[in-house]
Amino acid sequence: MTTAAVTDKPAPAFRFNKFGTGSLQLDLGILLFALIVIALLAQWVVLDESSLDGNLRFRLKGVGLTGPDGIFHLFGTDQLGRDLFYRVLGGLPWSLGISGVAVVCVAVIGTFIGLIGAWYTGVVRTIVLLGIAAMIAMPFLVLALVVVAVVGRGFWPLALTMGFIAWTAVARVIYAESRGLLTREYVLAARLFGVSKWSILIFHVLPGLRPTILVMGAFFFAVLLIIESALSFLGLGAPLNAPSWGNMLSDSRQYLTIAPWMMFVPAGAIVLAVISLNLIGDGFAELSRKRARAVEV
Amino acid sequence: MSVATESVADAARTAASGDTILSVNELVVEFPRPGQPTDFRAVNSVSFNLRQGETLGLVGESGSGKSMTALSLLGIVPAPGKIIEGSISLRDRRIDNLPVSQLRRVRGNDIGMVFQDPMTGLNPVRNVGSQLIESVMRHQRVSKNEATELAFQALDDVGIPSPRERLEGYPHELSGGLRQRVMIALALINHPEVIIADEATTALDATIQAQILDLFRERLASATMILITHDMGVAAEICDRIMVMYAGRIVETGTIEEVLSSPRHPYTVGLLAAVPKFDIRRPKLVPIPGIPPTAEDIVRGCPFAPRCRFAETDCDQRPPLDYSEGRMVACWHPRSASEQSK
Amino acid sequence: MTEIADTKAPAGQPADTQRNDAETIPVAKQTAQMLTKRILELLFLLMFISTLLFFLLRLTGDPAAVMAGETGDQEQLELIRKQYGLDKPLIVQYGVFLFKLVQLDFGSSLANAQDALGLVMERLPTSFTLVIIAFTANLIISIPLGAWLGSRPDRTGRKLAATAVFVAQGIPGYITGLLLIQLFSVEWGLLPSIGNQGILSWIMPATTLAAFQAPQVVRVISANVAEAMREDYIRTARANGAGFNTLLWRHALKNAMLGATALIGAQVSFLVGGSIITEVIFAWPGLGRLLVTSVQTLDFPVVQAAVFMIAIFVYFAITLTDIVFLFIDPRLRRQRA
Repeated sequence: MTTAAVTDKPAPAFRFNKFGTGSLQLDLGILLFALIVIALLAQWVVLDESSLDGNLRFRLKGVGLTGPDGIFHLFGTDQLGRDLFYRVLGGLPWSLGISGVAVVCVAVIGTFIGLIGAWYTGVVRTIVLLGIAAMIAMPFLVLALVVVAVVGRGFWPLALTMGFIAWTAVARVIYAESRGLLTREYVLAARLFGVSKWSILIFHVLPGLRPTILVMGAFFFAVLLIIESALSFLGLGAPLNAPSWGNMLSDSRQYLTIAPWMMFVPAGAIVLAVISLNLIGDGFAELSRKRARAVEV
Repeated sequence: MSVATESVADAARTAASGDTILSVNELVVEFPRPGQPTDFRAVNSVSFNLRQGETLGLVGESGSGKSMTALSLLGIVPAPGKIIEGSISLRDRRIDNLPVSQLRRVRGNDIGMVFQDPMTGLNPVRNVGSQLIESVMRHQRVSKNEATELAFQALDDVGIPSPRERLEGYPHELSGGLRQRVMIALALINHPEVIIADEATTALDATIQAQILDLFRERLASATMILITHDMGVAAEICDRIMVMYAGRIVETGTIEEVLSSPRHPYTVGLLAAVPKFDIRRPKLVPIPGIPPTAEDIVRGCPFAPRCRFAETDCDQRPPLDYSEGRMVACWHPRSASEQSK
Repeated sequence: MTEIADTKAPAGQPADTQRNDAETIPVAKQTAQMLTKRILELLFLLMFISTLLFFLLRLTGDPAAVMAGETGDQEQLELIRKQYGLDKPLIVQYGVFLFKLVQLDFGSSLANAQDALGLVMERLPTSFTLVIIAFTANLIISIPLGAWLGSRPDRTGRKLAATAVFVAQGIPGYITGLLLIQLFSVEWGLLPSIGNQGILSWIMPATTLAAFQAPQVVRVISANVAEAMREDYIRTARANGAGFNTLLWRHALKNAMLGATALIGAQVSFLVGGSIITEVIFAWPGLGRLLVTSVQTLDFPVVQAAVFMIAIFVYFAITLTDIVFLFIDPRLRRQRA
C-alpha cells in the first residue's frame, strides 16, 4: 500500500562526544579537579618529613633552580628556603579539606532549613524566612572573621564556622525551589496517599533539588576555598607556619620586589582550583538545562 | 506634514482591487542538519500570489512550513535557517534580497505581522504606548506628540476601551484578548499594504477568539491579508482563498468554498474529516493516522504518502503542484469532486 | 436552579476588558511596606548578631584573661572583672549588655580607650566611599560588557571574551589586588599602593574591589541578555523594523537587568566583605581594616561596634537598591490577589 517515503530518524545528537558527560565545561572541570585530587593523594608518596623544612642557605631562589642539597625546586623557594612546590602540595589537604567539610555542612544545613521553610507554614515559616533574610545581608567574611577570632584557629573550628555561617544563601534558594516542587501534582498525589511528610521530602522533593544542590555545591566549594585562603591571608586561619595557600600569599607580600614567584605560585594554585570548581558548577548547570530542554520536546 | 486621521482599518483599503500585491516564487528555506546528507527544508518551493484585498489562508499542521513562509516574507527567519532559493516581491519590487537596513523599512511598514502568543509578544517592562510609538516614529515622520495621538487612535480602532490609560499602562495589566488587540494595533499602525496573522487566535480561548475574528471581519474586510492557521474553521470564517501546506509544500489551493466543499488532496480530505461535527450519526472522531515528517526525517517522494489511504506505487515520486479541475493540487491521484465519501 | 455568579465585567463591556488581576498597589505604599519589613529584619539581625557575639565571647574563654593579657595575675583579673561587671551572673551581664546596646553604647576600645563607636564612625566614610565607587564602577562597566557579550553569543570574538571573563571570575579579588600592586606599584611604579594619599591612591583599591564582583555581574547579565534576545517580544519588535541596537539596548537590556535585581542588590554585601581584605592589602584607613586589627587584638567593644555598623550599612544599601528597582520594574509592583 504505502511505499516508504520517510527514512529512519538518526540518533539524537545529545552528547558532545561519546565519552563525555555531555557538557564540555563539566568534562574540563572534572579533568582539572582530578589533577588536583591526584596531587592531593600524591602527598603521601611525595612528601616526607623534611620536604617542608627550609634550607636557609637557599632562600628566595627562583623557579627551576637546584639547591645545594640536590633538591630540584620546581617553583622556587620562599624566605625560609622552603620548597614552594611542596608547600603548595602541602596546602592541598588543608584548603580542600576545610572547604570540603564546610560545603557539606552548608549543603546539608541549607537544604534542611530550606525544606522546613517550604513545607511548614505559619510561625515556623516566618521564623525561617526572617532568619534567612536577616543573615543574608551579612557579609560572610565579617562574620567568619569575628567568629574565628573568638573560637580560635585550626581545621575544625574554621571548617565548622564557615559551614554554619554560609548556609543561608543555599537555604534561600532551596526554599524557593522546594516551594515550586511542592506544588507539583506528584507531591499532591503522594500526600493524598498518606505518604509521610519526611518520605515526601526525601524521596520526592529532594531528587528534584539535586541539580540545584550540585551546582550550588560546586560554586560554594570555590567560594569557601577563597574565604579560607582569605582568612589565612589575614592571619586568622591556618596556624602561622602551616603550608596554607593563604599563608603563603601573606608571606609573599614582603618579598614582592625580590621574589615575585612567592606570590604567583600559591595564587596560581588557588586560581586553578577555583576555575576547576567553577567549570564543574557551570557544567552541572549546563547539563541540567540541556536535560530540561530535551524533555520538553 | 499632516497626520492622517483615518483609522487603521481604512488604511488597507486602496485603489482598484485585483492587482497582485505580493508575489512569492519557488521559495526555499533551509535549516542545516549536520550529520545528514541533506539539510532540512522547512519551506520547499512554495509559490503563490496575493492580490489586493483578498484574504489568503495558509492552513497546515505545526511543522508544515506555514509560519516559516510568513517569517521569510519579512526576512526574519530564525537562525540558523536561511532563504536559499526563490524570490519574494512586493508590488514588483524584490524584497527578499534587500540589505537589512532597507528590509527594516518594509517590516512593520509595508508588511505588518501579528504573532501567535500575546502573553509574551509584548515587552513586559515597557509601557504599551512606548512600543507603539517606537514603531510609528521609526516609519513615519511625525513628532512624538503626533505619534502618541496615532497610538491612541490605533488602540481605539481595535476596540480597546479607555485607550488613553492603556497607553501608559503595562502589558501585564491587560487580558490575553486585549493584548492581542494591541499586537494587531501594532501591526496596523503604519498602514501596511499586507497584513500577516500567524496563528493570531490560537493562544486565545474560544470566546476571545471569536471576538478577534469579528475584529478581522469588520475592520479588515478589504485588507490584503494572509491568515496562517491550523484550524480550517478559523480559515473558513474570514478567508477568500486557501492554500493547504504539508511538510513544507503547498498541496492544494482553491477558493474557500471550493476547498471546503470538494477537497482534492487526500490530506485536505483528512483535515476536513477530522473536524468534529455535532452529528449524532457519526459519533467517532476520524483522525489522520501517523504523524507528519519531522525536521530529522529525510523525505522521498510524496511526503503524505505514508499516511495516505489512497497511496499507490507511483507516490514515491514527488507529485508537482499542478492544475486539476481548475485548482492546484499536488497529488498523483487527487480526489475528484464526485467522490466525497469517506 | 442556582445561578452561576457573574464574575465578569458588567454587561455592556466586552468580557475581556477585565484585567487579569486586581489593581496594583501604589508604589509609595509598597515602599512603605518594604521599609517596615526591612527594618524589622534589621533589628532582628542586630539582636541576633550582637547576642551571638556576646555569648561567644563569654563562653569560649575568660574575657578578663583576654583583656589582662599574659601578664595579669589573679588580683588584676579580679579588678578587671569588677570593672567590667564580669563577676555578675551571665543573665545580668546580658541584661546590662542589652541596655547599653539600645543606647548604642559599646564601651571603649581596649587598645586605646577611645569610644568604640566613635572609632568606627570615624572610619566609616572612607570605606563607604570606596564601596560606592567600586559599586558604581562595577555596574558602569559590567552591564554594558555583559550586554555586548550576551547579544550574539555565537560570534568568535564574544566567545573569546566570555572565556576571558570566566577565567577572571576564577581569580579571587584579593589576588587581583596583589597582582595589581605587583604590576603598577612594584614593577612600574605608577600608582601608590599604601593608604589614602590623594586621588591616585584610590584607583587600585577601587579597581580591586570592583574586580571582586565584576566577572560575575558580567556573566549574569550576559546570560540574561542572551535569554531575553530569544524572547517573543524581540521578535515582535524586529518584525516591526527594529534594528539590532534598538533590540539590545532598548528592549532586551532592561529585562536582563531586572532579572538580575537580586544579584545587583547583593553586590553591596559582597563588596563590603571584599573591602575588608582590600583595605588590609592597601593599608587603607577604613572600617574593614579597623575590624581586622581589632579582631586580631581581640578588642571586642570595637569589634561589636564595627559589626553592628556594617550590618546597618549593608542593610541600608540593599534596601535602597530594592526600592530603586521597585520604581523601575513594573512587574514588581505586587497586585492584591
